Amino acid sequence: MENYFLYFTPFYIIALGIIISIISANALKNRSPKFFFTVLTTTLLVALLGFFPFIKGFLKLSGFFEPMKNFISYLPFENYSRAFLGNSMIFNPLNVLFGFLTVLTGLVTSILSFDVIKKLNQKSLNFTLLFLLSVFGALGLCASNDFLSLIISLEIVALSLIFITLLVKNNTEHEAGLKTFFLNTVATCLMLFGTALIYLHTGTINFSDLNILMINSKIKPSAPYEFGQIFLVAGLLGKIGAAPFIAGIFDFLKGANKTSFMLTLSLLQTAVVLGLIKIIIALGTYGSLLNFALILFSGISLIITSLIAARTVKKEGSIRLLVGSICLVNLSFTLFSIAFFTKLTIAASIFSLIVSLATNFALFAGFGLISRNLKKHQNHLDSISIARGLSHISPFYASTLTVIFLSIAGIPFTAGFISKFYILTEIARGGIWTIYSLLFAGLAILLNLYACFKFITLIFQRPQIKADKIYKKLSIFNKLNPYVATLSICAVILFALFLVGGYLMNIIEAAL
Amino acid sequence: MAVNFINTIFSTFLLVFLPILAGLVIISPYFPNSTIKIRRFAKGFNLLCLAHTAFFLALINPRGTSLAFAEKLPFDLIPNLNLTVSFGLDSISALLCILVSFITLLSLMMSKTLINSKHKFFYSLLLALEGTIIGTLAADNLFTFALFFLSSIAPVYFLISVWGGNRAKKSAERYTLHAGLSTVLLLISTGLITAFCADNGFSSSFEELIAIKDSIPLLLSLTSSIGFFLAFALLLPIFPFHSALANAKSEAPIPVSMLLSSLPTAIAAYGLIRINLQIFGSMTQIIAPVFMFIGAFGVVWSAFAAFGQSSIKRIFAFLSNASAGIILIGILSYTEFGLNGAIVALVASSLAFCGLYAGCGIISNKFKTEKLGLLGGISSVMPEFSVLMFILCASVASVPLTLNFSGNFLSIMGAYASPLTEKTYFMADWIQISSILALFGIVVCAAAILNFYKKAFFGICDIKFLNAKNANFILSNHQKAVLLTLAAAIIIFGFYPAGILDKIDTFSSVNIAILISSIF
Repeated sequence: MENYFLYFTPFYIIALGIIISIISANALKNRSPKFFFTVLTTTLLVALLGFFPFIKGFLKLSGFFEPMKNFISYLPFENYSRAFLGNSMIFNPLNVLFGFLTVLTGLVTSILSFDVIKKLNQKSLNFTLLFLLSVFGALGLCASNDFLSLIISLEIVALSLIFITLLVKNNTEHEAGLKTFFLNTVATCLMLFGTALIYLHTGTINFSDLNILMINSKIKPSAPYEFGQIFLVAGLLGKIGAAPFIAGIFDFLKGANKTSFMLTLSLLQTAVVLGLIKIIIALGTYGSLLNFALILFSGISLIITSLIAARTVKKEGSIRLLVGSICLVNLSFTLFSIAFFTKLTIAASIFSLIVSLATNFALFAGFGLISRNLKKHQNHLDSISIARGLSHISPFYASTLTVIFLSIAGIPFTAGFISKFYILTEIARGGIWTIYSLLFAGLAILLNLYACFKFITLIFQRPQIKADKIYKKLSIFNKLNPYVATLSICAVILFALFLVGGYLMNIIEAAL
Repeated sequence: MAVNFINTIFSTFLLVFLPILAGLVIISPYFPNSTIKIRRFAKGFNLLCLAHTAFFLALINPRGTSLAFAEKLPFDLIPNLNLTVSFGLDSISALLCILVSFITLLSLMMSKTLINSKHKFFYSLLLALEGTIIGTLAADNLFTFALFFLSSIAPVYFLISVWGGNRAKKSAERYTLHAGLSTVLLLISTGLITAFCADNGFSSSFEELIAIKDSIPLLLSLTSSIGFFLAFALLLPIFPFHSALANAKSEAPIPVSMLLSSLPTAIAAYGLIRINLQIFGSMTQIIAPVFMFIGAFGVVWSAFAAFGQSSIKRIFAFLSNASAGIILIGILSYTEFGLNGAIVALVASSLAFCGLYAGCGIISNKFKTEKLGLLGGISSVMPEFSVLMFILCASVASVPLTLNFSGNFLSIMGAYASPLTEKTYFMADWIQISSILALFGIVVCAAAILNFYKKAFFGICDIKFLNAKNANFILSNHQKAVLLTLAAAIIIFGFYPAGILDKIDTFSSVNIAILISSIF
C-alpha cells in the first residue's frame, strides 16, 4: 500500500479546496469574489503540482530518463500502473496524462474567469464549488475503469457545467442551461441503455475485463451488442454536442456564460475524448458497425462545424459562434482520428487534442479580451467585425492571433500542420474506410483554410469605426495581463509543438 | 575554417531561409518604418539571394543525375514516420530557383511605384513567398515538398486580398480554395506514400522513392499518382480549372501578378517532373493521353478567351494559362524533346508574362486605365516602351529567335513524336491530334497578343491622356531596367537556347531513357 496517498493527491487537493471554500464562506463569512478566485486558482495550481511524482515515469517513456536520473531519483513512481476500488479505477500513464491535461484546463479556465466570479459576487462560493466539482468529476473520469464510474464522473462534470450556466439570472442563460440539461439527460439515457445492452451480452461493465474478452474472441457479435456500442458512443458524443446531437450545442454556446462556455469546450471535451478512447480500447473492433458509425458521426460533425465556421466568418457573425465552431472543428478532427481504432490513430488523436486545447485557450483569451474591453453600448455587437483593424491597435496582439489562426488552418511551421498531417497519414493507413474518410477530412481542411484566411485578412483591414469608440482602453492589448499572456504562451506552444511534436507523439504512443 | 565557411555559405538551408529571414527582419518592430529603407533592404537582400542561387547553378554538375548539396535537419520532425526537412538541388531545381529569385527581384523593383501602403507587410510577405517557393523547389523529400507548398498559399492570399483591386478579396478566396484543393490532394497523396514508406522502413526522399518505385503496390501507386497529378494540374492550371488563377492574376497588384504568372506553374511543372514522371512514370503514362488532349484544348480555349477580354491584365492571364497547357503537353510527351521544351517554355513564359505584367503596370500607371478599348497610340508617346513591349509580345506569339519559340517548338515536336502513341491507352491515338490542336492554339495566342499590341500601341493616343494632369510618359530607370532585362533575356536565350538546354539536357535524357525502358 506504499504511496497509496500519492496516487490520489490531485483528488485530495481539490477536495481540500472545496472544504476551504465552504468553511471560509460559513465560518469566516468571507464571500469576496477575489478570495474565491484565489482559492480556486491556488487549488488547481497545487493540484497540478500533485502530478509531479508521476514525472519519472514520463521521463522514462520519453527517453530522457537516463540523462536526468540523478536529479529525479527521489521521486516515487517509475512504473505506476495500478488499479483501485475493485478495479473500478485505474492509474496508468494515459490516465495520468489526461488527468494533468484536465487540471491544466481547469487552471487556465479559472484564470480567464475572473470577470464571471466578479459578476456573480454573492454566488461566487457556488461558482467555486461547482467549478472544482467539475474538475473533480473530470479527474474521476480519467481514472475510471468501468462504465459505471465513467458515467457517474461524466454526469458530475456535465451537471456542474449546467449549474454554472444557471447561476446567472438571465433568460438566455437559463434557456441554454435547460436545453443542455434536456439534451444531457437524453445522452445519459442512451449511454445507460447502451451499457445495459453490453452488460447483457458480456456479463461485465469493466473495461479491462471487456478488453480481455475481446482479445480472446469470446464476444460473439450480435445486433444488441453492436447497437449497445453505438448507443453508448452516441450518448457520449451527445454530451459534447458532436453529431448526432450537433444542433443542441450551438444553442448552449450562444447563451452560456463565459466559464461554462470555456469549460464545455475544453474540460468536457478532454473528458469525452478520454472516455471514447477508453471505450475504443475496450471494445473497438476495426470494420465493425461501431467503427462505421463513429467515422460517420465525427465526419458529419467535422463538415457541419467547418461549414458553420466558414459561414460565420463570411457573414461576419457572432464571435461566440466562431470560437465555438472552431473548437468543435478541432474536437471533430480528434474524434475522427480516434474512429480508426489503431494505436497510432489514437496517439494522433491525443496529439491533436493537445494542439486543439492550446488553440482553444488562445481563442478564449484572444476573443475574451476583445469582448471584455468593449464599451458598454457596444456590448450588443457580438460580431467578429469588431476585430477589424486590430492590427492598427496592437500589431503584437494581431500577429499572435494570426499565428493561432494559421495553426487552425494547418499551415506549416505551426503545430496545426503536424497534427493534421499525422491524422491524414494515419487515415491513409485506414484500409476500407480510407477514401470516404479522406473526403471528409479534405473538405474540412479546405473550409478551415478559407475561414482562417478570411478572418486574418479582417484583422489587418482598416477599421470602419474608430477603435476608441468601440473599446474602453486601447492600451490593454499591449499590456501584460492574463489574456495577453495566455495568448502569447499558446502561440509559443504551437510553434514549439511543430518542432518537438514528434517526440510528444512518441511519449503518447508509449503511454498507450 | 575556410571549408566550414564555404559549407555554410553553400547551405541549401541558407538558400531557402535567407529570404524568409529577410522578411522577418523587415516585419520586426525594430526595422525602420521608412519606405525607402524597406525597399532597398528587400532589393539588396534579394540580389544577394539571386547571386547565391546563381552560384549553386554554376557549381552543380549538369551531367550529374543525383541531387547535390543535400542537407537535412539534424532531428526528425515526425520520428515515427522518419520525416524531416531536407533539401537538395539538381540542375532543374537550381534553374527554377534562379528564375524565382530573378522574378521576385523584378517584382520588388516594380513595387516602387505600384505599392503605396503597408510597405513592411508587403515586402516581408513577398520575400516569405520567395522563400517558400524556393523551399518547395529545393525539397529533397515528399514531406518537405508538401510543407513548403502549403506554406506558399498564405502569402499569396494576403498579397492579393490586401493590395489587390476591387474584386480582389473574392479572387483571393477563390484562388485559396483552388490552391487549397490542390494542397489537400497533395497532402493526402503524400500521407499515403509516407505511410507506406514508414511501414516498410523506407525514407520518403525522392531518390529512395525512385529506387523503390517498383515495389510500391499497384493500387497505392495508381491512387497517389492520380492524386499528385490532379494536385499539380489544378495549380498549373489546366482547363476547366483555369479561371481561379486567371482571376487572381487579374485582380492582384502588378508585382504579385508578375509572380503569379510564373510561380504556381513552376511548382506544378516541377512537381509533375519530379514526382509524376520520376516516381510514378509508369502510372502517369496511362492518363497522359487524356490530359494531353485536355491541355491542348485548354491552349485553344484560353487563347480564344483572351480575345474576348476587355482588360489587358485578363488578356495576359488567359494567355499565360495557354502556355501552361503547352508545358503540360511537353512534360507528358515522354520524350527528351518534350521535357526539355516544357522547361524552356516554362522559363520563357515566366519571363515574357512577367515583362508583360510589368508593362501593364506601367500602362495603368501612366494612362490610369487597363481597358484595352480606351487605349491606343502608346507607341507615339512612348516609343522606347513600345519596342520593349513588342519584343515581349513577339515572344508570347512564338516568333522565331525568341525563347518561347524554342520552348513551344520542342514541346509540340516532342508531343507529336510521343512513344505513347504506340500504346493502347484510352485516347493514345489522339496524341498527335492533340499536338496539332496545341499548335493551332499557339497561332490563336499569337493573334490575340498581336491584336492587343495593335489596339494599344498603334492608332491615335486619346487626347485626354496627353492633357491629363501630371501626364508623364517617360519611363523611370527601374521600369526601363525591368523591361530591358527581360527583353534581353528573351532575345539572348532565343538566339542561344543551348544556354538553358545544356543545363537540363542530361537530366532529361537520363530520366526519359529510364522511363522509356520501364514502359516498353
